[in-house]
Amino acid sequence: MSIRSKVLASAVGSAIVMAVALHALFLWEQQKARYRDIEMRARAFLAMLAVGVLEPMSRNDQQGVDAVVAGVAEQDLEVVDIAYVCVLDNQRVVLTHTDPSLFGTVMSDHFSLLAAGAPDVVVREEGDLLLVSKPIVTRVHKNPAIRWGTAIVAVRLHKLKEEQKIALMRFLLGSLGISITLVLVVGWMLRRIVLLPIKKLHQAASAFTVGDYSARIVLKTRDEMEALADTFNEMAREIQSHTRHLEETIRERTKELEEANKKLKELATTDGLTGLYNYRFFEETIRMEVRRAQRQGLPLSLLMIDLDHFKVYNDTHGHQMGDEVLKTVARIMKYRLRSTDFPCRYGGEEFAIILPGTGFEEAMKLAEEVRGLVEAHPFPGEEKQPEGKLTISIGVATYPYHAEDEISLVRAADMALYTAKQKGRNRVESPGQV
Amino acid sequence: MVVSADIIIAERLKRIMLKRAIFVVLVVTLAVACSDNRTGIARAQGATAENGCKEGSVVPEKLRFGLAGYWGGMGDEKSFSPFVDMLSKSVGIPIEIKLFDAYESLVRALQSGELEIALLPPLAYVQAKAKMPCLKPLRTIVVSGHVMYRGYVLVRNDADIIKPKDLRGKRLALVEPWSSSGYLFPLAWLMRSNLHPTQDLGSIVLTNSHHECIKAVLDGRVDACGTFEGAVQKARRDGLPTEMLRVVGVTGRIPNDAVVVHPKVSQTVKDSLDKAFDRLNTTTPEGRIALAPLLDITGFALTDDHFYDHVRSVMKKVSILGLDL
Repeated sequence: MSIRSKVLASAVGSAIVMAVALHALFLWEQQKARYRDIEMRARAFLAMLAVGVLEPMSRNDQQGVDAVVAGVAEQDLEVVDIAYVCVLDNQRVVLTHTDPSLFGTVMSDHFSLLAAGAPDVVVREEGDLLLVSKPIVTRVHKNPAIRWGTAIVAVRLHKLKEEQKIALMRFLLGSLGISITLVLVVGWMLRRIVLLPIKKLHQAASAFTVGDYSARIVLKTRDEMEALADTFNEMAREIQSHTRHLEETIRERTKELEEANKKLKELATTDGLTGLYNYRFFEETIRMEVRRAQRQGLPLSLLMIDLDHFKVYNDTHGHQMGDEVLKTVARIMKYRLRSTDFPCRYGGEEFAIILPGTGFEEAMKLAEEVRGLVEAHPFPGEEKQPEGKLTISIGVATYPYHAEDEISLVRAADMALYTAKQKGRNRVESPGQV
Repeated sequence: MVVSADIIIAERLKRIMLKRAIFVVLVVTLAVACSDNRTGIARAQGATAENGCKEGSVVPEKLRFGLAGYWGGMGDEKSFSPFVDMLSKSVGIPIEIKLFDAYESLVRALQSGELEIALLPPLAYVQAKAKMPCLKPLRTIVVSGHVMYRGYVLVRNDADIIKPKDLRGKRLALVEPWSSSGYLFPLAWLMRSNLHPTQDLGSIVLTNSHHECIKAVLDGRVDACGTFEGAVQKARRDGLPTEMLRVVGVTGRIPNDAVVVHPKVSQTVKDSLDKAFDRLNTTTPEGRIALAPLLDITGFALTDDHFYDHVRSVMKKVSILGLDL
């Protein structure tokens, strides 16, 4: 059950309870007042009648009594609906009655007996009738001296009861109207004071949950709702700034991580000394590139390179100098190669260069250039080499001319290198030349 | 401030005494008020002697009942026989009716002991009571259900007298100085209307009877007449053209005539009479027969002397005129 329904239900409930209570009180009071009014009018009517009939009754003037009763009965009594009027003598004989057939009869009903015996006004409600009686008396000093008879009037109450029904209907409609008005007013106030702020709060909170941290509530109700909205806005600001900070941190961390990973990858695929790809990388790449060449129907050449008499150089100049030679050879290779080529350190003083999309002729040409560049390069202490200079031998093999897969390609290039070594070093050889 | 204990005690005692005094006064006042209310009329019929009046002891052979001839209409003493028969039968003593034309002679007859019972008009009763302090009203007559009536000041309906002041310089007929509605109350009405009866009016004539008074107006011998409603009704019954009359003044309420019994008469007789009068009203067929001869009298109500106090106060007001009362 929503707050709206709850509050509306309590408002309607209270309104109805109040209306019913008020209605009951009002009706009770109204009924009392109307009853009193009717009784007073009946009493006044009887007082008038008693004074009027005194003379004709005392003179035993039947016509006079009739005339007085007729005259008095014609009086406009407004709300009083007279059922009957009668005048009885002391023996309860009817002297006059609205129903002429009763003339001369002796009234022996309960009220007539009561009225005839009572020294003063008697009021009784019998069924739908209000019966009022008054003795017709001559008084001296307000003391009764001679009683001539009794006047009785019966007033119908059904009109009063009908009026009460109408009043009830009117009041019910009134209370219904009040209830509806109350509901509308309370509903409107509720909407304005509670529901709209809550709705705004809800919207802002919903926006928040889907990540819109810029959501804010604008309320000018100057009450607890505004305070709540302010608190929400403050919280939102806090969360927004905190989140922004967090995002920045995460972005930084991610960047750092990416860099670290890149470095790690580089480390995993690079030879630490020469900066060329390492043997592991060579193995993966040659397999991958041969497959690619197979798929695309392109040639792939492999150069296997070995420094000539490098053991001599190392023994003569030490490992540090040897390492410098390796670095320099690597630099020369990188310098001459294209960005699509993969120069790798195969192990020790051996290098391998994968040349994707490169045919045999082109590979031979490139190998020759690299060999020439190394030969031409002045290495410190190379004069102490057996040939007087530092050189390299290169074996060239090309897929698909010399091999059908990566293993046979490597073997073919190796064989060519072996051939170059056999033929006196500082030269480029291919399998065909075996 | 130092107050001694004695003074405080004395003050308290004073207050207590004062409270007690107030309480006693209240209780006494209340008791008197209550007893007065309850016994006001009962006292009037009490048998014990008061104010130095001795209780009557005479049981007369016959009761002579004097009343104004007016009550019998045109009839003589014999016409009262139904009334006399019933009363005699009730009391057990023969009743004899005596009719009087003037109230003064009626009072005088009562005073002299020629009458045992009298029906006195209010002013005549007050005058008689003044002369016979032991006189007590037994009953007040009930006329057409009422114990009081009003006097009328009548003019001819063609007269140019509309308001009381129009009576200036006019001739007014009154009945006689012993009449209430025919003398005392019309004079009081004139005074209340800022008219001096002798100085402002042209003349005042006494007609000695209500009938004559009404006739004088109708004849044009006078311009106005002071009388009462019963007299007008009687005049109409007697064939006078009362439709030619108009009322220009209504007096204050006047108590009806009083039935008095001479103080000498024994209380037992008085009690029998009281009982007889109690039954004598038009609520019973016998009462209706008995009262038939007595014009408009429909019963006899229990009364006391205070009922006539109003007449005395009016008398006092009118007495400043210095007229013959």
